[in-house]
Amino acid sequence: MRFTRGWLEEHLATTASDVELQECLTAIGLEVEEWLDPSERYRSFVTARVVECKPHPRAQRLSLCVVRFDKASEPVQVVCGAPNVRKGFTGVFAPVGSVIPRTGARLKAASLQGEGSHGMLLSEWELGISEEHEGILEIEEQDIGQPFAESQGLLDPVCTVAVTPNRADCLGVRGIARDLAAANMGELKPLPKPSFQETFDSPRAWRIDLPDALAHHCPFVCGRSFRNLTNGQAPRHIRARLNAVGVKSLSALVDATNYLTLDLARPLHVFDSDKLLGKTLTVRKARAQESSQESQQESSQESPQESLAALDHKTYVLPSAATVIADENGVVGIAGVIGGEASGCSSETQGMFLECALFDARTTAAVGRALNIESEARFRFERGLDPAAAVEGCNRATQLVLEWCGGEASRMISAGTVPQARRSILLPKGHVRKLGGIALEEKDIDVILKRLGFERETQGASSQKSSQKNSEGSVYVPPSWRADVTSAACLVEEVLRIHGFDAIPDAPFVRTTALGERAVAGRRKRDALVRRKLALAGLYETVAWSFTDSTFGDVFALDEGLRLRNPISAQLDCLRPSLLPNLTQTAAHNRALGRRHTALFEVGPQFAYQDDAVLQEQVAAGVRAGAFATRHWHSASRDADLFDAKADLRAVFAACGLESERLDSTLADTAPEGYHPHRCGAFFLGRTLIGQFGEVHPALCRRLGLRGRAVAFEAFLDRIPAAKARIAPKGWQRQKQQSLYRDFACWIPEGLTAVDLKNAVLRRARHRLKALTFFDRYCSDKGEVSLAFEVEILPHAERALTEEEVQTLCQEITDSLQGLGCRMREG
Amino acid sequence: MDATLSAELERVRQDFRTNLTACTKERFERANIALEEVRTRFFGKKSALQNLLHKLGDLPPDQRKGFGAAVNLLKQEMLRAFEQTQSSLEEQSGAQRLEVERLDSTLPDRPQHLGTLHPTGQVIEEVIAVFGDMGFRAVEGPDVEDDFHNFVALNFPPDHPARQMHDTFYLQGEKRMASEGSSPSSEPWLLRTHTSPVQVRTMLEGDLPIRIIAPGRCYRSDSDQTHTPMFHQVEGLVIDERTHFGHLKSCLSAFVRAFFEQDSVCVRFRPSYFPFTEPSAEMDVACLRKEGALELVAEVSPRSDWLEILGCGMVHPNVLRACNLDPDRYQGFAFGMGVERLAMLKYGIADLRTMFEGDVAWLQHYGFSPLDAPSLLRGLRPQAC
Repeated sequence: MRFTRGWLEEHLATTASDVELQECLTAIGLEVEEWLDPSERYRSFVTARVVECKPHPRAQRLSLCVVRFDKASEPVQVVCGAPNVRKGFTGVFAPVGSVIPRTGARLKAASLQGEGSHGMLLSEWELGISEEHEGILEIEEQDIGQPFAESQGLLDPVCTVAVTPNRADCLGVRGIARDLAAANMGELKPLPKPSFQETFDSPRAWRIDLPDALAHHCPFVCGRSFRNLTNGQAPRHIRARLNAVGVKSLSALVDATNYLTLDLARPLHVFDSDKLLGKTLTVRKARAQESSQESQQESSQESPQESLAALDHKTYVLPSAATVIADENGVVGIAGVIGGEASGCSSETQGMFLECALFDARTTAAVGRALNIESEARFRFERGLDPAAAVEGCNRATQLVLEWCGGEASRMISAGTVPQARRSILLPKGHVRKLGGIALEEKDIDVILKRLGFERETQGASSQKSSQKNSEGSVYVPPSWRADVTSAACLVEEVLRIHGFDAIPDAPFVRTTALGERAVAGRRKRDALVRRKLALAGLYETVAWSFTDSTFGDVFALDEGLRLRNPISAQLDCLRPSLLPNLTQTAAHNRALGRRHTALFEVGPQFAYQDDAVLQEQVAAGVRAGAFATRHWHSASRDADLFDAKADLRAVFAACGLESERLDSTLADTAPEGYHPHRCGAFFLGRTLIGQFGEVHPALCRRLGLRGRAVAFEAFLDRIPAAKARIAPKGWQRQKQQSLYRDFACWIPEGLTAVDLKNAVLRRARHRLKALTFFDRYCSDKGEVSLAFEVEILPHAERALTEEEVQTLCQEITDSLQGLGCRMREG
Repeated sequence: MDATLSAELERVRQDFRTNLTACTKERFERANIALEEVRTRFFGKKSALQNLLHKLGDLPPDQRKGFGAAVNLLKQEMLRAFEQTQSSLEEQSGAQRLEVERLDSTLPDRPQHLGTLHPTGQVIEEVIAVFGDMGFRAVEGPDVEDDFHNFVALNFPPDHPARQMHDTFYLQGEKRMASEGSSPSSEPWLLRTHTSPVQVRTMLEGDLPIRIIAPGRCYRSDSDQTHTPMFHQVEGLVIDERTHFGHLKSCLSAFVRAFFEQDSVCVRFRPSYFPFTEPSAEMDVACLRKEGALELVAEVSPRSDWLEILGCGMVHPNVLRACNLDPDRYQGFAFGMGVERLAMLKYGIADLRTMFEGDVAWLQHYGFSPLDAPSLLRGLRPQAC
């Protein structure tokens, strides 16, 4: 909402400084976004006269002007391109060094086609006061060298405030003035009573034709007919005000409606009555076009909806939900949104019909949105108008029209009734202190509310019930323009914001228990540990979208239910069923940027859809691509491989409190989605899949533009049982004897996995073996694979093992290996 | 004693001496090997001495004693000589050995590869650390919500702009509603547009009093320089029978001071509007802008600006009612803040969208060491590196 200080002072008698006004506006909830003092902006511009003017010798459209802008100094030469420049012209001169308001450019002396130009004559557009830039601004004869802005009423500071959606009343200057007056920034001036003659009966009448169920879409409409008008220009100070707040001045009639929209938050519409057909204007719903007889016979299809060519030069097909104003010929306006072009007023307009209506907020909002029309009227209607202001708005408009355009006004006509929505709200005693934390005198509360227009119900005037209430507090009736105030809490807010949030004393807020709540527990604590563990393992944490591209649905099971109805782009059109695609894509992005080793992880949600419900689970996933580490002189560099991913996964398990050394991966029966079918593995806890890892499927890498291979892992954190809080462990026992170590090496048959071998050996001799560690893998020319491993043999508690016992154990291990079809390697 | 035996002993002695002397003439690394060879040759299982001892059994009993003693004497003598040589060799070679064991220690060490933590998660932990100290508990809620939790219970009027298609993401999947009357109805699932539904969930659990914060992902159909379709918020909620606006002010002022680790930060509470709070406010901090960076200041001056940090207010009675709490008895405050915004402010991140790109160079630059766990005791802000 934008207004000028001068405009505000039409409603507010104040001596407050600009700064005081700004601070107060923000403090009462009307945040000042910008306060523009144009005196700085316009200071260097002065009135000047063109004393000589001749065509530029080398450029057709340019003129060479000699401009005198200061009586004391010599005139200067200016090259001017305006069509209206001539000898004797008086305009606005910008000297070299000044800044052009519209463009922000600093003016320099220039040479145009060989002719020097030392300044500029300005158009309204360049001055930033209108869109007019066909010619330069001509001003009435006056002294030269005078500051220009003052004479044109342009020194009025322009203020822009952010109005919250609940404050429809502050979308008019008067509402803002009222709030400021309530906050002791001055006195609210009474609105002058409109006084004018109604000289004839309106030849046109209003009719509301809405089904009962939709009657609230337009409970009331009024208007007036005018004749013998001259639709010239609005007074200069009005046009200056409109320009200052960014509204283009068009004609007196249109300016009058725009002015009242901004002044009283009361949108109106003016029709050229000579362009309206029939004696009745009807408020009704948009309907199907009345089709000609042939087409009715031809088709049983529904005929198209009515349409309107609107004032913005666009044609809109009207949905049946739209409330419209129609004459006998068809639609002439969309209620609360925009008027029709054909029935609009022009400079020739002599007869005019004024519309002032109450349209409901929801319909206006829905229709405006459906048609994608933004207008000042819609903006106000959809936030809710003051229903009591309809007649007053009509009268005020009448007064302005008669003042600005002459002519005569008819008696007012109307249809429907203004809804009465008088609400009584009890403000319990002490409620301001209880909710707001500040003790205010009851009379101070009363003063604030009354200044804002609230009425205090007295016992005598109210019913039995409310008088009973009065003993518990005060009952207030909000003014008609404050439909947003509905509860005692709202009243408290009004009092607090006008009294000032700053005045509320801080009340200590500390925890109430000796021990703080355990702020970080459960999942959050687990996630924090997992994140730190992975970063320690050398991976970088990323935050990726929860969305992904549904074309990955061929790789990852994607239920239709996860698709977005209104995606922001095709690449982000569904909730992700896995973290892998986004991570791999990010890795590809990094590789493309030339990052040689890329290791990324994310801890975040993945989604599934089942039985009309969305299942969300927390996953820690990572991708490594390219070199495992930076190059180093001591050892050859290598690419990250799936065992790195497996180690990352194990690190996650450890962070989740799983004894991960006890966990072994298996080859999954079917390869997990997105992985190389023969270079992947899975971890199970019982039958629950808790993690998977492997090389990212080369086809997926190709698709994402990832050159080379990538490895990945996923840990399904929510499937892992919560770690128990650590308690003091059992007493520690020193092992009195040392462990023994023995090495084995064998050729393994095809299809035997390392974990099968390990399990077989441990099964055979678990009671004696503490650990089994593979330390070599060799693949012969013939493709035979040999594995070598070391076992740690536990001693007895009290004595070392005898040589014989060790021999027996080693024999058992050999036997179990041979049982698997392994051939022992000699030496 | 048999002369041949004595000669034999003398030969061993000479042979040993020769070999031992030879060792001392070698360079030290060879010397050690040679010494080891000498040890094996003269003291091992197949050494000449051992052979001589084996012959002991063949000798006539009267000679055995004398010969045995002689062999042992020789062995003792040889051992002494060996040890002497060994230790003198070691002594000699010490300096020599160090000399040749030179390594260029300026060559790089083996790299330790540490990743970093994303600023978003770090800032969430910082926020939790501050509020945790004030007795708040961190809780979570689902990203996919229904109309009730995201809007209805939070007092959003049915025509509120935030409920429209252009702001809220809706899923194809639909929630089946308990059928009223004959026809079962359904509504599309939506992605929560704020973390406020967690307020509703917590209140509905009914475990009072309440002091929670709820960090999490939020979604709005918006994408430009300063908006991303996904972002993070931290929600806060306090409900009991006495918490009022004065508590809200001191709680949130304390938060800002602790979070920015500046004891004198100038804040203001500015009346605002949210459907789910009444009165509502926005909290601003005073700051100076210097070459794109922000500095919080203790006093307002003509050069300082106000910068919005968070939205807050007293929980609206309609919200309490929707969550089955009696608004005549219970009251409290709620607040919400944008995590990315806090992160950008505190750590000088200029472009919001870079936070979601996952560029490793960016993550190295703005990320945090995994060892920097935010804590009020140790300071929230990690050490400069």
